[in-house]
Amino acid sequence: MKILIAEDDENSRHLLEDVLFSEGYDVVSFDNGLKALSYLQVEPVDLIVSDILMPELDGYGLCRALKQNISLQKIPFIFYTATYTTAQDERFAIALGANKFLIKPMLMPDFLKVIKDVIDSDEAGRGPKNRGLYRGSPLKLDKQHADLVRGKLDKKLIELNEERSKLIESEARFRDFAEASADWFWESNEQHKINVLIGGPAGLNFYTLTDLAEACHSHSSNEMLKTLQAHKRFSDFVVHFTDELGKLVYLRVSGKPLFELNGKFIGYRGVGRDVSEMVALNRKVEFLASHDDLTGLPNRSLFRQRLEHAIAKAERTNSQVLLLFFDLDKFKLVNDTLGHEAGDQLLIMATKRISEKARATDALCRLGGDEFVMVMEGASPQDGHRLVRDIITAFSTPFDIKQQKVYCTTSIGVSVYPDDTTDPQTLMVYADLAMYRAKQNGRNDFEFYTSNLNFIAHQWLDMENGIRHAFKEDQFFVVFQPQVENTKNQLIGMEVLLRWRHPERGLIPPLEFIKIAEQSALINQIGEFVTDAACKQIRAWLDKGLSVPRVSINISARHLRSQTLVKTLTATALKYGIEPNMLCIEITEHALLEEGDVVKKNMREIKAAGFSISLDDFGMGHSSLLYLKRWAVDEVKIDRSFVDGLLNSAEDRVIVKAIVALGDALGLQLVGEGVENQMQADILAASGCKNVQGYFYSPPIEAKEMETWLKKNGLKK
Amino acid sequence: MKTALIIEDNDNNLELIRFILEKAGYNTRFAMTGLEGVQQALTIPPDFIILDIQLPDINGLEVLKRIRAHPVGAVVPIIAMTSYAMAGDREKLLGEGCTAYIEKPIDPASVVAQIEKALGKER
Repeated sequence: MKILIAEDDENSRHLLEDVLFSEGYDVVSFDNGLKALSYLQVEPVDLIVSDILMPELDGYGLCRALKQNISLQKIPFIFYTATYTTAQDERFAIALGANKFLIKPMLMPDFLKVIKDVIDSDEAGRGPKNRGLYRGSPLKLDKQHADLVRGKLDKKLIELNEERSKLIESEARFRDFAEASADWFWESNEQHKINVLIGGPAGLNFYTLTDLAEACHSHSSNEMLKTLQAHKRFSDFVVHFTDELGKLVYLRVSGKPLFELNGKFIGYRGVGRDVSEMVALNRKVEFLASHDDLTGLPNRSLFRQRLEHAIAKAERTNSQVLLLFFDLDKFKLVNDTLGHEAGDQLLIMATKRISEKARATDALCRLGGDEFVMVMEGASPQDGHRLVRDIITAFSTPFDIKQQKVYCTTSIGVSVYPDDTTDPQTLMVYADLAMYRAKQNGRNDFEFYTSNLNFIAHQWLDMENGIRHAFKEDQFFVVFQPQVENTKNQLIGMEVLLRWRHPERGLIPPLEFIKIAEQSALINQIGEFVTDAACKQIRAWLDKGLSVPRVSINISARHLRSQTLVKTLTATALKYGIEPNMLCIEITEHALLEEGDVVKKNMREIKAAGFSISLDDFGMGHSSLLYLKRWAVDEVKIDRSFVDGLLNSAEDRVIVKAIVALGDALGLQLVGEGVENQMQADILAASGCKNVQGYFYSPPIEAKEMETWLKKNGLKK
Repeated sequence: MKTALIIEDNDNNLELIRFILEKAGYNTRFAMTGLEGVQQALTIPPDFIILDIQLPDINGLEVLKRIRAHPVGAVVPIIAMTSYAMAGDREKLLGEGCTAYIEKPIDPASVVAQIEKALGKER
């Protein structure tokens, strides 16, 4: 049993198809009368269900055409229509020979029952009597048909117009809503590439949503990525990107996934808004909430975070953190006497003085009132000691406030993590307590929380004063340690070393004072002293007609950063009439780590002036072949720790061999340091390092004794 | 404009000397105890100090000593005011570095001239 459906409305057509099909009928369907008619002329069917108003050929037209065709006129014809049906319609339909005139919508069981009845009665020969036999005049029929259809069309037109204006209004409403909530619109494809951008920041269409997810602020990047991968709807993701003008723009985007009917994801469609100003405002609010508005310094809450962060880091890196607690002495007096404005000015100026002395990594915060704290990361108590002294000195100059000189000193307390405590809160209390003690000591002073550190700090201070004093009192002198060519036992050079003879303490080992001198410009003075003393001695030997091998002088890391280093070296050599090539400047690898511009310049100029360069402590930690090449190093000294290990450590032997091979390849002179016995000397020689220095050959000796060596060597020649 | 620090515990005397000095074109600051006076003198040093010798906490001589002991206070002119100007007191004051002294009760008509004379001597 085959049923033909002529119906232009897709939804109605599908419904009928499905229902009839599920009832066991064969179904063919068309969206206009003409297509249906063409089909019927070729293929027979058992029943026709037709709408009235359709394109090309309306239902009445279809019915009339069938009824005039002898082979088709017998097929039962049912009108199923809703469009502006009047009683005239039904009369006309029946007059045309239709079996039934049904009005939409019908419950499907009722509809099916009618279909079945029509089929049954047709089979029983009980169809309409007038099928194909319309008896009226064709003219009258045409007119009636045309009037009915025109009437329907007019109504349809009105309805369409109404719908259209509703649609326009609805679209306008939605546009208003969208525009009020968004600045612009976008669409992306299935790869998340933004391919449609209506309004919006220039250049955004070069991005994908995935790119934007990487720069998501409101949510984690991961969360946004996951949402995109899952093709889920998202709203209010705040992302940033750099627009075509290079401006950083913050955007808030929301999007809805788009799918085809079969469920295939085809992209997103969404809205966006530029929220840069809001983000900037939020940042400002955040800054204001975490900073003191007078001095611009971090406030108490941010300080607490900084401290906790510093301590967590120190715990990982096994380093120390210093907490400095400052209080301005007499701040209250200034406030009371000169007014709050002056007090505020003092706070600002004090902040500046403290900051100027601090390292870039030291974090100064204002707790409130005249209390400041500073977190020093990766600093030793000695660094702290130096800084507080610098700050106290900086406060000895009066402040210029309201054309008045104001003498405002500061008292400082210092606590040390982890030595004093590992708890941030307690560290703070300790620094405060230490500050209080400093104040009690008479202000303008500092105190470590741990009394032992105070003791050591004073020792440092004493040591520095002692070094200054030693210069004045001529307590420094130099000694010389021979460097020997192993196989021939011949003197090939010497290293100049500093000694300090204290009138009460006797000889003070360099280890005790060099480290402290290195903390200040004192070490430069020491370097200059050694250079001068060495040159003076060389001159004396030369004047005696002795031949003097190359003399090595140690220059510290700090001195290597001095602008005047090379000038002084050259001037000293010139002063004693010594050729620069007689002098070798010994530098530790460590000194080259800080490759500032001055270090680079000095290294170049040392070579240019004719001095040679020796790299001390080679192999200790930071060895870089780069240094050897870049700075045209002439000599490398194998560190004593490797020489020590030669007997017992296969590893050390390998390292020494490697250094020797390297030296040979680069044409470097090698000197083994700290040789203490024959075995070490032999192994070094066997490894290819013939030049050695150490107690096995000679300890550092005074000039007079060195003279004997020089004479002996001279004789050998 | 020069600033004077007046260290004086008596309201009426203080008001009088302030009035006279301000009329003569000076800025004035004041302290009503000796300790406060020392602190002010050393923290915000004035151009000169008018110092009463009778004070409630530490006496004027002690104030003078403490100010002079500090490098900041060593060079500030200090003019003492004393009501019982005995010869011994004067010598003690001058011996501790007092620039000059004027006698109480002060004479409103001539006190500025006396002070300026003392300051001139300083220069």
